[in-house]
Amino acid sequence: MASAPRSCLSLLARDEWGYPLAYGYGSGGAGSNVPVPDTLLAAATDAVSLCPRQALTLVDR
Amino acid sequence: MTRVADTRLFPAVQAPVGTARLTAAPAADYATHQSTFGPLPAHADSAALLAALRESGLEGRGGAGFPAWRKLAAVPARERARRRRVVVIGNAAEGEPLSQKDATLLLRSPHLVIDGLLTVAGALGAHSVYLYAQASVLESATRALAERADASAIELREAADTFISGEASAVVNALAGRAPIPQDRTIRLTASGLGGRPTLLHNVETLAHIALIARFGSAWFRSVGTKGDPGTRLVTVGSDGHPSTVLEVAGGSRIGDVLRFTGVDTGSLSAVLVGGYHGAWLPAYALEARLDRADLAGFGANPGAGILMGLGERRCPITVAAAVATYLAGETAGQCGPCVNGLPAMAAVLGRLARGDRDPSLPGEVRRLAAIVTGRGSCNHPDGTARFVLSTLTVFADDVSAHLDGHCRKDH
Repeated sequence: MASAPRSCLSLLARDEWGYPLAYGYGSGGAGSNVPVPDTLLAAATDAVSLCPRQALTLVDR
Repeated sequence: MTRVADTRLFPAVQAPVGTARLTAAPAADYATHQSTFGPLPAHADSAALLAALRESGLEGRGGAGFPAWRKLAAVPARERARRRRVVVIGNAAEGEPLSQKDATLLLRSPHLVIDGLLTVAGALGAHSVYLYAQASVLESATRALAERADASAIELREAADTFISGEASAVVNALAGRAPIPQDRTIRLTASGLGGRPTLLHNVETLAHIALIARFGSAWFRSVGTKGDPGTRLVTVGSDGHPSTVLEVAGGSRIGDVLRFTGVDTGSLSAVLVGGYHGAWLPAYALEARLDRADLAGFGANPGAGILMGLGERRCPITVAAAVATYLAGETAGQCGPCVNGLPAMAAVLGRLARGDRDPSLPGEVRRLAAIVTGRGSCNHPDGTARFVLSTLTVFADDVSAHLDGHCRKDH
């Protein structure tokens, strides 16, 4: 199970298999890409390094 | 009648008339190819090729239907300007079990594919050129490559025998000696692909059309087909899960006409699967729809790689769809959690419905799982599988109801 730091929970949930799932998923065809606001950058970096399945990647756009 | 404009040194060859274009040569050998189509013109530069492809309206024939010129344009201009940078790949992996058109093309008209590869490679001054094809056509392709002096740079590689083997990044992985599975990419292959080089991958049918556009021009290409789907396309037609015939048809042909031409009794069908296992069902009442994007959009389908699979009205569509979903679940690359877990779960619920479980929550559970896997893979596999399953629930809503009521009388 991926355990994201608390502040990143505002961006991600977990599906029934424990994989990260973007909130509001499926409503706008956002795919699996989640924009990360600057204020959550540190938490997002932690989430990427803590995800045991390496299911998260942080990309600088 | 169109005359070849730029082959003055050679006897003029008439452009093919009618819908037999890719299939115009009566035999596969190089001499017949040359006498049918004339010699390959001197290579255009990339700007001229890009302009010709743009005017032609040629869409990729590998399934996604991406305009061919856009792919070429996506190779960064500075890379197009430099020589010996770009990798060009002809893709004939054709992992889709319902499709046989790429293999048929390579058996029947291999030299058009080679011409297309040489045209694109020449325009880009390619670093390397690959033809990635399934085992069944390697012998024919090897023979064709050996028949001509200008094809020695083309490297022939055997494609992996899996459903997703033809996905662009899976092809690049295979050619790089890695597992033939898709890659989660943040940079386009056209910017950085095989060995970090800009990589341009086209389906082999797309390349064969490019070979003809290079000879006879974009106006000639558009002289057959509809505005929305210009040119001809190869289609694999079959019924009840067995691909039987490959045809070259005008773009925008009526689907019912294509089926009847191959001897399928359209009156005996409940639906036609358009676009293969990642495609969508077209119900019997809509069979006069054209095989183009506009007519098919309402059904969530597109011409894709040209697969038309009729389903007999006696066959239970839920049972058929559950078997397909189970197959697709088994074809996951095993990389992404939602695909690895979600596709088998979705197939299992559909299977329960097919086998007579009357739990009324089952269709909703299939829909929920389809939504949860969509968009969450490195590749399109979960999305395509979900699309097929959702199309089944929509088009065969009466059959779903019959299963829940316990009175499906069709053959299982």
